[in-house]
Amino acid sequence: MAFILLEAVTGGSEGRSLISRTSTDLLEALKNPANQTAWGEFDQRYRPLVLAVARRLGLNQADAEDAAQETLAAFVEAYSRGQYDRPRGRLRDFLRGVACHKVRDIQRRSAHREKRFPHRSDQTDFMATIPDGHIETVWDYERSNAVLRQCLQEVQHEVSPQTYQAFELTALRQWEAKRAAKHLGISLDVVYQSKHRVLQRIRQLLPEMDDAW
Amino acid sequence: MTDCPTHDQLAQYAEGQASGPEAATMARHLNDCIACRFIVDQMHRDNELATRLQAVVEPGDDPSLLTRLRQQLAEDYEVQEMLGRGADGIVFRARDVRLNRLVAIKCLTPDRHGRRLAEIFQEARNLAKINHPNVAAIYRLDDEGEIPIIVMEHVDGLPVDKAVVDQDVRSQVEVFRQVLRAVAELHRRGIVHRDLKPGNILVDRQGVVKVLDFGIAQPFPAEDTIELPVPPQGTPAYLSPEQSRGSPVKPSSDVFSLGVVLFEMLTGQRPFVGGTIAETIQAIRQADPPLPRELRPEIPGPLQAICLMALEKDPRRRYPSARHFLLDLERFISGEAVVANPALLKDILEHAIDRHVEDLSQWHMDRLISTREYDSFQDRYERLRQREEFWVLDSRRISFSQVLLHLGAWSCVVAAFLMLCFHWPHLPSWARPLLPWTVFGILQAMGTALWHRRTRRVGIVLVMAATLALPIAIAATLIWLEWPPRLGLADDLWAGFLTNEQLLIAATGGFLWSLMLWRVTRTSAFSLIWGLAAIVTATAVFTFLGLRKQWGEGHIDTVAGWYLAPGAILLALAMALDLRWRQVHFAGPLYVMSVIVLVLSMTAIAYFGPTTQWLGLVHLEGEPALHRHIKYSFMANGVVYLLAGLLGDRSSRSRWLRRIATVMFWLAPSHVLVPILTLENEWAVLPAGWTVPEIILPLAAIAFVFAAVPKQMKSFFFSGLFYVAVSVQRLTARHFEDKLAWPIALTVAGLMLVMVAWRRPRLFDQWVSNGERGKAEARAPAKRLGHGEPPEGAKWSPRPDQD
Repeated sequence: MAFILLEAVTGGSEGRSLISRTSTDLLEALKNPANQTAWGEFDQRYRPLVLAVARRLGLNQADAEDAAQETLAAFVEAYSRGQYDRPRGRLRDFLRGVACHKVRDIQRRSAHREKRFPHRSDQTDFMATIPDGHIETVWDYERSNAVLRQCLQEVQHEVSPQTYQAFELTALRQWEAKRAAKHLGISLDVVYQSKHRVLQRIRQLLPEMDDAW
Repeated sequence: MTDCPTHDQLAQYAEGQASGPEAATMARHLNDCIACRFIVDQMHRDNELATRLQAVVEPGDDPSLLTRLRQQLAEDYEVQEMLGRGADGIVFRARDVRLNRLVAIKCLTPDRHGRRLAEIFQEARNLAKINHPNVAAIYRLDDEGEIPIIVMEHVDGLPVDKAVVDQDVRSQVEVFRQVLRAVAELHRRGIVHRDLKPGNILVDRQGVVKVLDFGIAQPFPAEDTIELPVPPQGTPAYLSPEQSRGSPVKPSSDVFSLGVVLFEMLTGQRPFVGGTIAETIQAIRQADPPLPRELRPEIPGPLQAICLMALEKDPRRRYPSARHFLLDLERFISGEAVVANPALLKDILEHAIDRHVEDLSQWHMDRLISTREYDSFQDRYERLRQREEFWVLDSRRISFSQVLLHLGAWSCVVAAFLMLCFHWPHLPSWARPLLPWTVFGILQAMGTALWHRRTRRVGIVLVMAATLALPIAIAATLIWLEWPPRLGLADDLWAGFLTNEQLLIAATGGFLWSLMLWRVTRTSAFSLIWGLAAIVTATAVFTFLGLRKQWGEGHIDTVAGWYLAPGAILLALAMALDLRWRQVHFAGPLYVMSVIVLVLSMTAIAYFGPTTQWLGLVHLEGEPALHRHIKYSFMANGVVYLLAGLLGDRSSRSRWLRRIATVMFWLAPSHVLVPILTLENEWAVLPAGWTVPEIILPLAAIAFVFAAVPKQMKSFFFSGLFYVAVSVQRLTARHFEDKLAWPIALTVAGLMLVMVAWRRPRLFDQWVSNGERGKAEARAPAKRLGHGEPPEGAKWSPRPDQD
């Protein structure tokens, strides 16, 4: 099944807004194994999330990538066998469960490997046991970050490049408004206007996006 | 544009919540108004959404930053990805290649905020001095490279609120204790964090807390150096009310933020919630937080009190610093009583107490509880109502540090006293007063400084020690100056060292100084010190009356008679403080001292006094002193105590007087009965060798036993029983030895009494209680009326006559 994912990734998105699909829509589209766009979208959404969670839990890059790959593959398999039952839970809850399981699994393997080959520099920190509930908390944290990233992307498609740039420089890069105005060659009030508009739009988008994910 | 928008309008705009036209107007205003721009920029920086957004984007404004940083640090660090943004720059994760450990490197970009690099580095240097397991360490500062950097400990953890989700209260408290330890250390170093929030308090996977991001941490300035207005900084939800107003920030502001963090850790929600920044700030300034126990019932009451105490709106009512917060939390952890007494709970408590006190007085009138029980309830409620400041509790606690403190201060005073009570022949005469004055000066200066810095626990001990050192210093100086000239009225009390005149001046100095400090500190400890000083001064006055001579010649009763005067004055003052000025906690120590002085004096008078001449009744020549004097004079004392007890007991206004009455009632029976015991020889002897006192003693003892009934006086009851046994023993020794009928008669009489008590229990009780109830009702008719009418809704009770 992994090859579907790989193809999906390389097949890529069409640069289209992702908010158009709620997770229900996405699941509907995934019913067709040949729908590469849908699978690409799925991969784009959830692979970075699992990766980030695994990294934050102390797995090294390679282990984290394994965890992400195994999680997505497990989902594809479960879905194709009809084991994922939509009414029983949300997609994100299902994925979270799978991811937690995989991360723990890889940690255990890594611990075993570490016993045999100690003192590798880039080791997965297996000594620290992950307390119950910790993975879930990390998952929620990373997921909310992913949603925010998605909001930023969405807004970028909606507003003019100059407006977004003004917002980016002042709100995200913390430039002083004056410096941003000078840099973009616009007046100060336009900078403030842009910043306000984008922030306002993100505030509107956030609950929708959170629901869609 | 001349009219600036309000703070709330600016806050709404900064959050991206202004309507279209408003936003346009505001943008134009910001174009012109530098002050509002400054405030909005600050708000933007602290905007929670913006902060979250910053955390998820990569550093793109200066793509070369990472490359340049890697070049700059190539030898020492392997710079990895970006971790986030602090107030002053971007933070990267890096690996220290020599030590093979992860670090966080903050690249400073101070030009953005106009903060001078030197200032930031100075703060960092202050922080670098802190070596605390719960404070993220600073490893290195580099302001000479191309990019100024601060290398810090890398903390891989979760924000504290997320890390303790689903844990039990005890584990959460343990985690929070670590947070408090860290912040207490900062405060001890004079640093206020100013931006305490879960995002800055991380818990690593070993459960160790690290407090970090001192981006806006700064040493707390003296109050007069504050430049107003300071724009509000920090994340709105964790801002203290004073921070939200832009007022000067003190350690107590951190305490508030910590209170919010604790609340959130315990209940999973924030105490002050608003849809917008403006609403949140409004809630922080005005709204009462919900009670944590209502949100999560398993939170213990004391912990709730601690949390609410930290969330007090008025900084003066909060814990003054994290250390006090920590001490109270540790009291809670070790199961001791906490000192937290938040206003919110206090209001609830006051109402409950008022209701209960009304019930109590009703119960008291209905004789469901005794006067003593009523008093003790009132006592406890009073203590709850007027809980003293917590430094008092701290200073009374016999902890290791407190013992050390007292011991140290006491050693200084004793050292000063050594200068006075030895001649020190090899020391120049001017050197003798030097040490006492130095001790006084140091203790007083340190004590005053600490008192004003609100480290009162230490301050009060030092000032008290200084008060003891002052008369010593004055005396030493007078000895050196050989002043004043002697009047020669009486022999010196302390001949060879100190003249009476010098003693009087020194004692008066101490007396006045303690009076002044009593007024300034307004603590009950100083009423004790002042009382002691008064007694010493009285002694100095008595030296002129010939204290030494009288004592030397054995006229101790005369000397004791003099001391009745200061004792009575102290008692009068205590009563005035208690009854007239309602300063009960000042009156307590004076009451105790006056009673001790008076009772000791009266005992000395009774023991050493010329009893026989006073009464002129009998001559007791040839008897041992104890027997000779103990008789009538002790009995007279007993009667005085009895009267004093009765008077004190009648006082419905003062618990202290009632308490003294209890002491008197314990003293009185022995003072009356023991003399009867010794009165055997001189009184008329009855036929068959019986004497009057032999018969009076058991009767008097039985009278005391029964006298215990109306006022429930255990003192009378137990003393009476004891002397019944003593008198029976004496009677047996004199008259019934070897006569078996006597113990049998006693047993039979005892059994008969038991039977009467069993079968006719109400024989006397009804008579006594009827009389007493009539009196009680006559004493408090007004209160009785208040409860006379049954309340509305109380008419449901079934009536027997309706059956």
